[in-house]
Amino acid sequence: MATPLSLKELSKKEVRITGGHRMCSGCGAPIVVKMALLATDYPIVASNATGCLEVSTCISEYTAWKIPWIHNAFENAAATLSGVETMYRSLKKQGKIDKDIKFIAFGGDGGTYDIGFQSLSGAMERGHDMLYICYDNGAYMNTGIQRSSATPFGADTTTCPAGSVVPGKLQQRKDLTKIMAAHGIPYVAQASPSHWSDLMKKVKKALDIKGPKFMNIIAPCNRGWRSRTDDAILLSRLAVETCYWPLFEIEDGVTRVTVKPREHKPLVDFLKPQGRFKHLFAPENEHLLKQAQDYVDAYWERLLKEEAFFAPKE
Amino acid sequence: MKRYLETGNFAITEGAILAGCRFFAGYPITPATELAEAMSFRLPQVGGMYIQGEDECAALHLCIGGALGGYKAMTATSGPGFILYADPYGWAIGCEIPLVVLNSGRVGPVSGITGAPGQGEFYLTRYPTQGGNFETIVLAPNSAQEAMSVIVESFYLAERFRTPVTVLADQLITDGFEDISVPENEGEMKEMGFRTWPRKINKGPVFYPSTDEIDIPPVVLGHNTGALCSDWTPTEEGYDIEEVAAHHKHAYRLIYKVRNHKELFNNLYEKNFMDDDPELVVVSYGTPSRVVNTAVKKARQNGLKVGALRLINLWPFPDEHFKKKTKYLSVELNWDGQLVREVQRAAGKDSEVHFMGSCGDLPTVADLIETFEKILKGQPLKRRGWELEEW
Repeated sequence: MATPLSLKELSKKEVRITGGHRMCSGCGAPIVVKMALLATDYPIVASNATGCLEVSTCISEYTAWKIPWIHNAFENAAATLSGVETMYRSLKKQGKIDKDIKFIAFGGDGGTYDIGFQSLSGAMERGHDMLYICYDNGAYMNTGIQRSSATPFGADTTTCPAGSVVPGKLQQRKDLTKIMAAHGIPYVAQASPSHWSDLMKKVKKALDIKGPKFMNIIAPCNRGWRSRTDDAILLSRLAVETCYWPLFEIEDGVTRVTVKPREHKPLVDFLKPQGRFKHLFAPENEHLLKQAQDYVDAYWERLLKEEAFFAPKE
Repeated sequence: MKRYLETGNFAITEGAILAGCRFFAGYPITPATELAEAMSFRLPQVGGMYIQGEDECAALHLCIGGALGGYKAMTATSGPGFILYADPYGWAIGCEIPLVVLNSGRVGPVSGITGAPGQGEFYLTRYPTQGGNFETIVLAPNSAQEAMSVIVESFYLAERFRTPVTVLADQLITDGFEDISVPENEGEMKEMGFRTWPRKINKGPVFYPSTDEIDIPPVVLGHNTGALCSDWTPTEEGYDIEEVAAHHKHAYRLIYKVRNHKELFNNLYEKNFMDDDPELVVVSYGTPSRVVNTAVKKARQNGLKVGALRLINLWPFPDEHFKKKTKYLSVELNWDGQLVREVQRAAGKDSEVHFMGSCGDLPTVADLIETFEKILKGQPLKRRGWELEEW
């Protein structure tokens, strides 16, 4: 099923997550979901880990989802969906279903990096034909901004509060995208809603591949990032341009950086508009800014080396 | 003494710190998140540690690690998180590790509603893990101030009994704002009836005795004692053993160290209008007991001979309060009836036991008084499970 990825064509398509849900204004997560669901024409069955997306899209008596949607608990979106996918395979084998249905699990970073990690890893290892999309806003935003293993270095959250003793989170983020790639699954990608065409191409590609797939998509949260409400796309663009959130894919073990920023902007451009990093700009915390920048630079260089390693030789 | 207008979560944090808690491992869940937040802020100020687990199971395991390292440790959650404690809770019981676990009940099952109180974990806290052969201690406060004193008491009991103690609060207690007095020194703590027990270190040679003795210090790692801390059956010297006879001793201890020393906590209850042998005893714990107390007071003014019994110590169940042949009414925040089953068992066949449940909301004073009247007049009660039934 071909989906022409032109804005004109996309604007005519049915949006499978409706507006009117109760995500905060300026939230990145529903944009990610909307783009992912627009990218394909397949019938989709989705599961959702507990999180902002889940609680706000199915508030009292309403649902924003126009597709079959399951919410079970916090730690098991991938396990639940892999059960559904197994049943679908069986029914298909028995000839009781002829439709080509695709399965997508959505989870926030808490439900993916932390509590749902075991279930995700298991589903990927068993090889279910499903796509797991993590919308990464870098903390437990649903319960009120507690640190997660996706929270970036130095960020101020309610359980690693920045003060005179502790300067926010002291650890770097868990590199989940690479961990998922290490499962040896056919497709892993990182995307950003600022680069919508790249994001949708990746989702479309992932759904056409048979087997377990994982995508990690940055989703700015103005409440938790302490940024302006209308800055979601700007911040996700800055995340890409500062190489904080590189856009790449790993297909059958081959790394390819899909978007290379023309100008490698300094990380402070991404950190400055966000209140959660405010304390890093105090003179005594200059070394922390450098530490954050060094980490991002090293990651980006390693990524380019990996890509060069796999590039076809002249 | 300093007074605050603050939440139950604040009271619990301050109470835990007063009791000597210096280790908190948490995981965000409404309505216990603020407790984790407060601990992450307060503990470093007093030389303690806050760690956030990757889930609730890890959080309680972290607490066990902290306790084995010699700290007084605590965690807090709500029902959907408490259920993930099953594994570490069992380990803490079996290895006799002092811990305090707070459960802020919300209406269930599963995620239910985050912002509505519930009392669905009455039995879950009695049987928080598999396997049986153990007794648990569970305490239930009914206000923010009392949550503080119950937390202090829980740390005291956890140390003396060498076992995890669960505090069963609910969403209204942990999230509700109330007038809270925090003692500022030991004199004031004594004045408020706070008891504390220091963490001691077991130096052997008997690490896991086969008696019902209490006040045996826990095994703390790093003291060259050689004692193991594993979840298999232990020998007295602290080795693992796979032998039924040895397990008999272990199980005996886990059950009877608590049952045989109930006098340490069985004074934890509140009786209102109970001196003149009331015709109807209204039994409750936690938040609904506050409505019950008001209703009973009003009913007394109306000439109804009712009394209120509020349980603070829930497990081991205080059977001794139910020896008198009379009518009992159990008021709970669930529709399936949990406390009522224990009341019925403890009261015996001669007493009449009734149940009034609510699900996610509190009963009203008017409803309660109407029910008292009906029971006292022997009128038929509504048969629908969620309204009222003769149990």
